[in-house]
Amino acid sequence: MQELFLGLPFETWIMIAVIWAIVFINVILLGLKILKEQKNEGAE
Amino acid sequence: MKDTTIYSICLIVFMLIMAINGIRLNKRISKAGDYITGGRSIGILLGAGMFVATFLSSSSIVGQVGFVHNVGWSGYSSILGTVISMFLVGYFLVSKIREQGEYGQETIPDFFESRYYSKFLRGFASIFIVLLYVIFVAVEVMGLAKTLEALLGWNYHLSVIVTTVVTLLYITVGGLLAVAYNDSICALIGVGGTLFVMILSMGRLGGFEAINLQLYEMDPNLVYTVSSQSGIPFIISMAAIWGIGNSSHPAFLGQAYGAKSKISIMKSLLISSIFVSLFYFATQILGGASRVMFPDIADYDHAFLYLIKQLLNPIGAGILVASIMALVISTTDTVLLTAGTAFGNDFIVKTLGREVSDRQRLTIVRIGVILVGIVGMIIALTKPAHVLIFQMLNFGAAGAVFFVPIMAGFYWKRATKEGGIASMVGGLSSYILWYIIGSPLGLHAVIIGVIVSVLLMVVISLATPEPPIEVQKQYFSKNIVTMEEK
Repeated sequence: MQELFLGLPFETWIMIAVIWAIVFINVILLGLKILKEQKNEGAE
Repeated sequence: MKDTTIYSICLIVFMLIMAINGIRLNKRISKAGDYITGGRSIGILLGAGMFVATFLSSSSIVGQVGFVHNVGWSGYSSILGTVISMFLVGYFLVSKIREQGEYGQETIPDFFESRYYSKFLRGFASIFIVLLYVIFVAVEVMGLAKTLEALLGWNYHLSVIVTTVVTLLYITVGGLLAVAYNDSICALIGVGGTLFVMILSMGRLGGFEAINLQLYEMDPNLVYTVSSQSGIPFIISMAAIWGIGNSSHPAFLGQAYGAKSKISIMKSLLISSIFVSLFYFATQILGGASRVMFPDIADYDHAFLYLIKQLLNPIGAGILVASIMALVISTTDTVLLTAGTAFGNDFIVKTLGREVSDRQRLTIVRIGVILVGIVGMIIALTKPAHVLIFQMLNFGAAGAVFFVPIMAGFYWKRATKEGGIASMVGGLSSYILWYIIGSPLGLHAVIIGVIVSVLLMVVISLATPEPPIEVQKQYFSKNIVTMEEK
């Protein structure tokens, strides 16, 4: 039996991590883009 | 009172609220622009609600819980494409699209004519959108009617007529604003209710780990993401297909024109991507919980209803069923509005070049919406045998046709009219051809369509004169000249 963490095997946690990594990268990059736009608007 | 009667009453109340909302918002529509883009007044939260509701269709709600009930954690990989598309749409596209709203653009066909200085591309895109979305509307209505028939005992034909008429009523009078308000209400209750039921189900079954361990005991394959049927290459290719397909749909992208500003639409996308991801995680846990609680369900699509009947009182369950059904309607409304606008505004008025007043344009767009809705309803009533195959082709076809011209239009200065036409027509032709010959080498037709589309865009654009200077300035200059300044 493969070792489970919270009832799930390692490979399933990798899939969860990949999906949430894309979500967080999206949120961070979008957040930075928003800040940059706000700064540009402020400068104008 | 029977549970199904309570659910039916809740759904009827929801539909009435949606219809009243549309009628109420009609007061804010005096011009065609108010109808198509909501007067560019959609703020951050309304925009977020609209995107959440549009991203979550019938397949993502009722279908996803049933799918996970059947296959376990391997079902989770199916949302990779959705998160990729949220990234592509949020980071690369919505702000660019909204920026072009300052030049008077209201729809995606407006973008094609402007960026590729080609009326042909506007016409081609408009007709393609209408054909694509008539089928989409029909299939969504069919799915909803079948669910109402199975879960609430409604007559199929009556369900098709009632849902189409209610949707048409509020879209015809309220336009994009009605879509935004109704979508936001549905998204709030639908997503909030699903998260609430997830917490209840974890409480009932002893938590996240307990659910997974029980799944493992039933069948160890249920806790693995890579099953024997879906290897890693399959997961990656499906993610690419859904990612490209979802992020090329004019119904999603066109909503950006209605935002107050490009900053507000980016904030909307940021919020909606978090809620959509949370929602899918909740459906994953609910699918697992339903498998543990009801392992012998004959029809997986009923798993979600079994769960909420078990965990909520009849009124709570009724509200959730109604909001989930309304979320399905909210996907249909966006598609219907986009198709009707493509037909009335982009094809009849702008491609055929009819000289009309703004008031007449508004009437023509509304007639377009009604016509598309009626055709979709007739298709749904006749239940044609091959309609589901067309729907399966739908997302892929949008990717093969629109993805490259939209991306290149915003990010490659050298993309020309001839390149745009070749890319769009070539993408569609190769997609259909590859599908007809049976998708050799195991390659999905979208992948071939996109490769051909990229090649044609690059080769033909480089072989033809570069775009006019005003087009380059409009799309690639940092100093945006607004419509008023023009």
